[in-house]
Parts: sequence; structure tokens; C-alpha cells
Amino acid sequence: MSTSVNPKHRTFLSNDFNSKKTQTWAAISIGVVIFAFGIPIWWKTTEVYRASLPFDEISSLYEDKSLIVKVPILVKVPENADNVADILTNALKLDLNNDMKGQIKFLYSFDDMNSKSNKFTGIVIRLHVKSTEQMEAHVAKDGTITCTLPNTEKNTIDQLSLLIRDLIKDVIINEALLHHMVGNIYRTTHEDRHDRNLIKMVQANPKFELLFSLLCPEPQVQAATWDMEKDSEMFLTPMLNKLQHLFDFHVGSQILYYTAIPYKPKVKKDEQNKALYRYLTPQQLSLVINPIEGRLGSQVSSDPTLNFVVYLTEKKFTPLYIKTENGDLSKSNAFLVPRWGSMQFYNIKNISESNGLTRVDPQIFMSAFIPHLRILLGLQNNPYVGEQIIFEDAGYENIADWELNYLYRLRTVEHIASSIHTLHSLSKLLNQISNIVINDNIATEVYDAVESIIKAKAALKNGDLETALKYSKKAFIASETAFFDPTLLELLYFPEDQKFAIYIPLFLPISLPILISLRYAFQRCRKKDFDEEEKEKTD
Amino acid sequence: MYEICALFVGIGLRMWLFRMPRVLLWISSRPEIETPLTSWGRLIEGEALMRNSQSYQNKHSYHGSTLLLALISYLNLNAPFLVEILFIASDVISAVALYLFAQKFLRKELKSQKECKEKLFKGVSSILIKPEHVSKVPTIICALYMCNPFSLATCISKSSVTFNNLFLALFLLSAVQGSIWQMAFYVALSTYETLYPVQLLLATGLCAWKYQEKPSTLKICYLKSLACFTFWMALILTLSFLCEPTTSSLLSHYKFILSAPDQTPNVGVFWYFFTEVFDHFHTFFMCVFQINVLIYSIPMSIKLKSHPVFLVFMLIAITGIFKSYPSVGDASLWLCLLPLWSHTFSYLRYPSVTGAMLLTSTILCPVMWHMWINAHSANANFYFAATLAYTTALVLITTDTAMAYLNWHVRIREGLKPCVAGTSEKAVLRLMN
Repeated sequence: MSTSVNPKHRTFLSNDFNSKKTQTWAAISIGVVIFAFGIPIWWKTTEVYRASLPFDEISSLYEDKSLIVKVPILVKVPENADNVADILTNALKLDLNNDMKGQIKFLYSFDDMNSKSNKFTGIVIRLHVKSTEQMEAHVAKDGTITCTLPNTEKNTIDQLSLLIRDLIKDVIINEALLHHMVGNIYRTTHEDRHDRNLIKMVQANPKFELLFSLLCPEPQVQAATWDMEKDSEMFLTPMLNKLQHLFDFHVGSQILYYTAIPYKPKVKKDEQNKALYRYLTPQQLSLVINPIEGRLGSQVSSDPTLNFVVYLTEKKFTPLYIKTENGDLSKSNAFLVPRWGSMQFYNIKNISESNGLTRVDPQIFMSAFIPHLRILLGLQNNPYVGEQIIFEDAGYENIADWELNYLYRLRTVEHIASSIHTLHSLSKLLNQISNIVINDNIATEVYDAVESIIKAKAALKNGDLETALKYSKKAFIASETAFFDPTLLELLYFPEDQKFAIYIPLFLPISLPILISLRYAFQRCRKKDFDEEEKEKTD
Repeated sequence: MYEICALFVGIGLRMWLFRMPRVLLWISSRPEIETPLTSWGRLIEGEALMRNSQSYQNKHSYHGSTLLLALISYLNLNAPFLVEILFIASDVISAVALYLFAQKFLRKELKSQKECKEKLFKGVSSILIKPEHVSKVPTIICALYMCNPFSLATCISKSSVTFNNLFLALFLLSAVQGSIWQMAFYVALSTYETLYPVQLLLATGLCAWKYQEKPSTLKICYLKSLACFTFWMALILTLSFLCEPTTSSLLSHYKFILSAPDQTPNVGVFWYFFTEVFDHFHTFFMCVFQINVLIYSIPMSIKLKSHPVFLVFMLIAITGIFKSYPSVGDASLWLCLLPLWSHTFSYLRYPSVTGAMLLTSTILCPVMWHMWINAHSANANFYFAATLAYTTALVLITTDTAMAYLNWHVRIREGLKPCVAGTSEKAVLRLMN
């Protein structure tokens, strides 16, 4: 092997490719390449990258699920009646802070008005004493409760305090709903999950698509049109603008022709057996939406869609009314489908004289849809606490200020609870399956979410609703992004036993000859040493 | 005399086929002939993009080397008719180089065989190299290279594999002359174009050690070849850098070869695997496949130390089969060199099987492609099966040839019959052991 001169004839004949030394060296060279290059490459390229996540913080947030919602209450009295204010305050303190079940603690604070935000999002109670009138409370659009008392006796004030307590707990704050919602999210309460208002309300999402559809089933007989842009500008935009911090709305509209509902309305006949009108029972209403839902195109947008459908009743069925559960005819001729939208049957008057194209009156359908939209968002229409409480009309914006605060509080609590739950599920999943790749963007989102949750909880505790809403929304969006990130899909993680299925088909057939040759190489090395020892012994 | 005929027939065939646009169109759509690395269409696209943007930077379709693009674009601009002549000329030069190489190599083998005739076993004269080998085989090789369908198709499709084959043929010629400068130059040229011929450096030192005029040690030969290769490579890279003064265009070419991001079907083994591998294991298996190409060079250099030309043959064969974007042009070169070892053909174990397999799979590939892409009645598995049969046929030819070669070398020392049972010699040869 180490000839200094190249004897050409020797190299022709040299059989050294068959010598044991050559074979040993060849086998060793392959082994060296595999062990020096192959194994480190395998180790490096198949490691699972897991960015660090704040698992401790998430579990501590989940353990301590309680929320403290501070509601500042301000009592204003006429100048010479300060003691009345104190009596009322003490009575309210007793009544309001009575029951604290569940995970949300409502802190009604009667401190001075040192709120950090410009807008006071608490409750203002004004007292008037008028001896001639009955005790009543009037809730203004901006949330001020103006109470009229006949006198300033303790009894009256206690009664008033009870009245105000009912008003605040059931309507203005609606503690029960918030408790049920949080219980639903955490699945801790198995009773009480059927709060009707909770079922009708859409679940939180940063963006919503409002889709208004006009359905003309027989345009050859009667067709209708609308100018939805102008109508929505007039009716909807003030309301949606008021809600802009909560949700991002996108309004769309369409007119669909030849989309008919296959229904058979019942006939109400009069004494001469002539058809007066036709009506649909509540049982029939549940079958109305399905046939047309596919045509509405509500899946075009990726945000959740609320559908508002105006159905132009066919000529043979006009007029068509909806019967409510207790047998009366519905005033708005519209029905709400929880979490989906609402539908109204529009009867064209004077159909025999119409020449085909009518303009649908926005007063009629908007007056049905806007209350339904409020219910879908989580508000209550016409709450009834007692005949002594009067609510002022919300005006052209369709949402009162106190209702807006109520929505802020509701959605903030929902966002916080939902994000904590999502993060907890995510951390449980990632801890259980140790092979999932966690990218850096997921880690960033999770850290953001945790930070925002903490800030939102602190803001809620201070009674600062707007900041709380901002941070809770940020936390909600971040936690949903992290949880539904496509790189966390199950397909991308490999349990240990599946890894073998990936490696063996390629490497087992290749490695067998290599391992056998390595074994022979080692045997020869050892045999060579053995032979040398024997030689030394015999010499 | 016959070789001149063969040359002219080859030239004539090429010029005739260049005039047939339908043939050109069909051939340029064959994935067996055109790969994303070497295709002419991509080169033209790269040239058009370069003319529009005044830069050679083009990561989207053209993945070849910068100098080739510069050369072809210069020719296209000034003398378009010269492009076809360039491809035909490169084929002709390769054929002539192979002819001269075969002649010199067989002469040297015959001479060294005569010099140690007394050491050979008695009675092996039937399998020795004969003088008619020296006169006939080079002609056969030249004719084979000019007229076989693989190299015809490669030339017609104007793929850059033609130039690669040219450099390898010139390398073989300089190898058998023993001049390190030339060998290093051709290795540098073909390494610049496709990365894999860098393994031939191992063979460069060995060829120089065996065939040089003045004798020197193996270590000095290796050092000299390494130095020359570095020099030539630096020169070529500098030229390339001058054409396109950014390093990214240089590196993107090699990055494309090494990471094989384009999974267009071809006759290789890369594309099918990487369409289905999980992303998590992609890098690992890419490394495995690239190691697979390169790992055979060192053990074979150790084993075939005294037979460097056969080592070069094996390296070219293995590279041509396992590289990231092979084509039939890569196989045409070393298939044409098979007659060099015709004296060992009696020890081939299954020549008819492998020959039939190669023929069948070559015919089956376009059929499966048509069924998959045009008729929609097959899928990728069909095509991959056909190309896998083709690859297996080539691998079997390679290993069979190697076995026959080594067997021959043992037989001429120990006689035609295998040894008597009971001795310590093992009668079975293992290729690597």
C-alpha cells in the first residue's frame, strides 16, 4: 500500500482489493461516515422545537378563576338631605352585597367618584322627594336612576333600596346571566345552563357579518326591491357605531329570486268560510329556515354571520301572520332564531294593484330586526322588574348607555373566562403530547394573552370597563389564534412508536449489510491481534 | 475508419432531428430527458428574464450555473445558429475523447498484462485482453456514444447534461494520460455545473499515481490534485462572480442541487419520496439521500485503489443514478463505456435480465407518463414504478459489472475454476468487503 515508486505492472496484478486490510478499511470508513455524520445529522434535524410557554401562569390563572367586578355607585340627593343619602347607602350596602355565590364577585363600591377613566361607567342614583307621587324609579338613557320618593322615612328608603337592588342585580348588571355564562364556559355548573337569554346570545367574536336578504319567491307575480345602503345608514349605523369598541360589523345585503319555502300555512276562515288570513304556528316555524339556508350564502364570509331575512309572502298566501305560543298574532310578524338571525314575513298590501316592483318599507322590517339584533348581542328588550320601574327609550341609537356598559361588562367577562379556558386546554394538550412543535409565534400569542388577561382582570377590579374590554378582547383574540394555529395540528406530531414506522422501511435493508460487514471488520481486527499474540508466543 | 463513419452518422442524425420541430417539442416535454436543473426551456426563460431585469438573479425557473447562462445568452444574441452547432460539437468532441481514451487505456492495460504474463495462472488466456479489443472497442464506444438514443435525445433537447458528459469524457482522457492539471480542470468544470463530480477528486490522485510519467507517492499526488482543483475552482468561481456580482446567485445554484426543492418527476428517486415525507423529517431525509450519493466514494476508492479508471467508471455510474436530478443523459455516458470491460463479460451473472429490464423500463416510462398526465387513468405510482425499474436496472448493471470485473481479476491469478472447498479462501466476493 505504501509503495514510493509506482511499479505499474504490480498495480495491474495487485489483488489488494481482496485483502483483509482493504476490506477492513472500507468497512470502517462507512461506519465512520455513519457515526460521525449520520447520527449527529439525525439528532439535529429531527429535534422537536418547542418554544417556552408560561405554563405556571396559565395554571395559576385557571386555578383562581374568580373575577372581581367593581361597580361604583354614586348616590346624589337634593342639598338638604344628606342623611337620606347615608341611609340609602347603608341599606344598599346591605342588600347588594348579600349573596356572593359563583366565581364572580360583584363589588359595589360607594367610594367617592375618583374613577380613573373619563367616563363614569358606574351607576348614578338621584333622589327626589315629592310627597304626592308614588315611589318609582326612572332609568334614563344614560343610566341615571331617578327615584321619586313620597317621603324620607326609613321604611320607604328600605323599600326603595330593595327596588333598586332588584333593578341593579337583574337588569343593569344581571349577575345571574354572568354567573351562568362563566359556568358554561368552565363547565362547572351543570344545572342552570339553560338561561334563555344565554342561549339566544351569539358567542363572542371580534367580527360579525350582518347579512340582510330579501327573498322574492315568485318575482314574475310580485317583485320587491330595497335600498339597503340607505336604510342601513339610517337605521343601523348609529347603533353599530356605538358598538364599535365591542364588535367589528360588516353589513351586506342581497336579493334572492325564486327561493321559496315549501310550507303550508293554516287558514283562518271567517263565518262565510272565506279566507281571512293565513298563519304559521310556532311548530311550523322551526321548519322554515332549513330549506332556504343553503341559498343564503352565509358561509361566504369567514366571520360568524347573522342573517336577517325578509320573505315576500306569496300572492296566494297573503296576508300571512305568525301565531305566538299563546295564540295571538305576532305584532312584528318576525321570529328570532337563536344565534342565527331572524326572519320576517312581509305582506305586500294592495297586491292586486301593484304593478310588480314594490319598495320594501324599512320601517317595517327594521322595527323587527333591530330588537332581534339586540337580543342576539345579549341585550334584553323591555325588561320588566316591577311596575314602579320605567325605562326610557333608547332613541335613534337603539342602545342606551347603561345597556352599552352592560354589554361591555358581559363581553369582558366572557372574553376573560373563555381565554383562560382556551389557554388551560392548550397547556394541557401541549403538556400531554410532548412531541408537538411549538413555534415562536404561538409562544408570543400565549404570552400576550396571559399578560392581557392579567391586565383585564385588574381593570375590572378597578371598575375601568373600557380598558378591561380592550385587554380582554386582545386576550381573547390571542388565545384563539394560539389554540387554532394550524401548526399544532395532530398530523404534525409523532408518537415514539410511529417514528419507527418512518425510519425502518428505509434504513433496515440498508443497515443490515453494513452492520454485518462491521462485525466482520471487528472480528478480523481481534483475530489479527490474536494471531499476533500467538506468533509472539511461539517465537 | 469506422469511427469516422460513426461520427458522421451521429452528426447527420442530430442535424436531421434538429430540423424536426415535432420531435423537438415532444422530447423537450419528456421528464426523463429534461430536469429542472438542466432543461433548455428554463435556460431560455432565465435568459429572457435576465435581459429584462439586467441581472442573472432568477430563482424561479433557471437553476443552472451562471457561466452557462452567460455563454448561451451571448450566443443567442450574436449567432443563434451556433447554439445547435455547439451542442453537436460537444457531442462529437466527447465521442472523440472517449475514443482516444479507450484506445490509450486498453493499450496500457494490454501492455501491463503482457509484462506480468508469467505471474498469471496457466490456462486463463481465453479471458485475457486481446489486441482486437484494442482495435475494436474504441470504435464501438465512439459509435455507441454518437448513435445511442439516450445521448441523441440529450443532444436534441439541448440539455446541459451534454456539457457535463463532455467534461467527464475529457476528464477520462486526461486521466489516462496522467496529467493532474487537466484532470483537475475538468473536474472543476463539471463540479461547477453539477456538484457531485467533486468525488472524482479521489480518483484524480489515484489516476495520477498510476499513470504519471514520473513516479511519486500517493500523498503527493493527492495534494497536487487538491491544489490544482482549488486553483481551477477559484478561477471559475471568480469568472462567474464577475458575470453576476452577487454571491446569492452562486449559492442558489448549489442550494438547488443540495436541497432539491423542485419535485418535478424525473427518473430519480428523490421526487416521489419528498412529495410524501412529513415536513418534520424533510431535512433529515434530504441529508440521508445526499449522503447516499456520496458515501460510496471512499470505500470504493479504498478498494479499487489500483484500478482507478474502473473507480471513475463506478463513481460516474453511481452519481448518475442517485443524484438529485438525474436524466437518461447521465446514464448514457457510462453505459457507452461498458464495452471497455468486455473481457469480463463472461462473468456477468445476469446480463440478459438487466438488459431486458433497462429496455422495458425505458419504453414503459413514456407510456406511464402519458397514462398519468394525459389520459388520467393512472397516477404517480405507475410512473414511479417505471422509473424505479429503470433505476434498478442501472444499479444491477453497475453491480454486475463490478462483480464481473473483480471476479476477472481474481480468476486471472487463480485460474478459471473456483477454489476447492475446504480452503481458507472464501469463494464469494463481497463488493465492499
